[in-house]
Amino acid sequence: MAISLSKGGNVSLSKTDPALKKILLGLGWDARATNGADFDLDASAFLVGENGKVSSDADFIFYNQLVSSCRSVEHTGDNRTGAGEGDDEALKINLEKVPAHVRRIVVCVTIHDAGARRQNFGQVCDAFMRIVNLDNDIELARFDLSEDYSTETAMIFGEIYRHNGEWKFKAVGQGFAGGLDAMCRQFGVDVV
Amino acid sequence: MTDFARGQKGKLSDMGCMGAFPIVLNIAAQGMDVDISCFGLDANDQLSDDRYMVFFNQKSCPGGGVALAIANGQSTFTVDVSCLPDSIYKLVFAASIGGEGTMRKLGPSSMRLGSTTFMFSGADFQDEKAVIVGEVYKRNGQWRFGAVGQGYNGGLSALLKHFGGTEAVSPSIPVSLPAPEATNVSRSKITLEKRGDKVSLEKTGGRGFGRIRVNLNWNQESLPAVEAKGLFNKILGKGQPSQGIDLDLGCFFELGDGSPGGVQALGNTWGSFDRPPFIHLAGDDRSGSNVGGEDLFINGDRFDQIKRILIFTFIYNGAPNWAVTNGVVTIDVPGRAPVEVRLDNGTDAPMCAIAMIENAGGNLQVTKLVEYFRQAGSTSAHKLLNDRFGFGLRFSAGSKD
Repeated sequence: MAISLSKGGNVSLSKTDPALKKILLGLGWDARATNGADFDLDASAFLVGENGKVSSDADFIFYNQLVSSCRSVEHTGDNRTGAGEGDDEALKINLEKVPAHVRRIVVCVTIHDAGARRQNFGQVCDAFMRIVNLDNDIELARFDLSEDYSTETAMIFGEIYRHNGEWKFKAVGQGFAGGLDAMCRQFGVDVV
Repeated sequence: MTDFARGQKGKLSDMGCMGAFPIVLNIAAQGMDVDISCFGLDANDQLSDDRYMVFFNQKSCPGGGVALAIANGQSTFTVDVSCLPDSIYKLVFAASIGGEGTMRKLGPSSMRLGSTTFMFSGADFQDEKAVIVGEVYKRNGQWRFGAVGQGYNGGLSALLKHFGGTEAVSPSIPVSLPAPEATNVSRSKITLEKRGDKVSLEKTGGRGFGRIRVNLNWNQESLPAVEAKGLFNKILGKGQPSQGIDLDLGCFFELGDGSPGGVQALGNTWGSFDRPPFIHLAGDDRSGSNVGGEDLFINGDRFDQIKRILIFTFIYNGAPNWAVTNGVVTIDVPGRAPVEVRLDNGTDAPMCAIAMIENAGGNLQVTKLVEYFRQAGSTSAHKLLNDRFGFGLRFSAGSKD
């Protein structure tokens, strides 16, 4: 039975499953089931060090860079509509391969072209993030972002982080205005 | 004042909305026929109780938690969430287009409540025919407002479906009714399932209501088919296959000057479209074989001359009760949802008062009646109907032959 976290909660993945090596971070959402402009939500991950910044742009995983230079984090691909059940986008992480300087892997979802399409997380519902052990497909933890979001266009869903030699997962659910650009600046990625 | 963006949310208390407060929707319809409706939804976002749909022909809900006033294209809902039952979790305010056009054509429009304004226009939309403009909802015991601005290409019908509302089933008999649009079907379903329901059609601009068509149709499809004929004769217990069902459509009217009268085939009083009473019965279908049934036309451009019209129908010959007639009366005002009354009651009382069309301060109001009458002793059904609705007419027995 997966552990269900609420906003701000955390769980030790290593303790939940001591044999854990590879995980899948599944992210899901539903734009309201209406017609009109599509909602294109994008998952991305920032591999940040002790200072909360990426060491290079190679540690930013997103739709145009699906694999990190260390090959420990892999984005399974862009879903343009959010249609269907289950995970809309997913990241695979090989925990053993994550370089030592990476302390945290921050997982975000941003709304593509939110400004032009005048879209925000107030129009998105049933967002979630879940952690699955890739070796046996067992779901370890889940976070349903049940908060009543409003004008945020970028959202940190959660983060995987090292703590005393363990890997832990924290449910964040923190929104930002400004989309992926603002998020990149926050984590030290140079945006053209 | 705070301008809300699509998707933005806030607490009603932060917007200065306490007690009974107004929510004002101004829609720049650009000539389109746009209606505003409020849906009171339960915890599962379902319209589980039709009485909590507040719109132009049901202007308030039980308890008075939502009341609507429409004037000059502006819809004002007076909302008091404390007057809503606990089962209502959300009030969804939606705009829908009847007839031609899409939300893409909307001019600058707004929804205002307290210190909050949500502006929207055609630029926010594509081919939607119904949009949820905003919603007032309960979350963790607090009432909030969210600007939505999202909708459905399928119009009010798709919206209703989204809320679990019941969609009307199209008539099971192949009568040649003007095919109502999906939106009209659902709207008439909601408004006309119960007798006494009123549909009020506001006069638009300086125009009248056009040519109002009241149509009676019944099961003409049974007659040509030999097999159906056999079944029919069994029901009727008659040996004459040529004998069809003869239903009559007629009306009693009262003009603006108080003078009463009747228009019906019986007694050959056909009326006139261009002269008083501005009501014309276009022929008598004696068998139901006329595909179009019987039509009564009301000159809606002269509606100012008319006080009220009682539409009725009766079985002149050939059917023991209404259930076998499959009769349908449709009142069709140009550009509006048809008002449909099905005569599916098994009663053998031959006369049925269908609906009252009234001039309510210039607006055209249709009230569904569906009351059946039968002769009592020497008092005819016509007389009973007249007495019931106080038209003050005098009668003698009549025949069409």
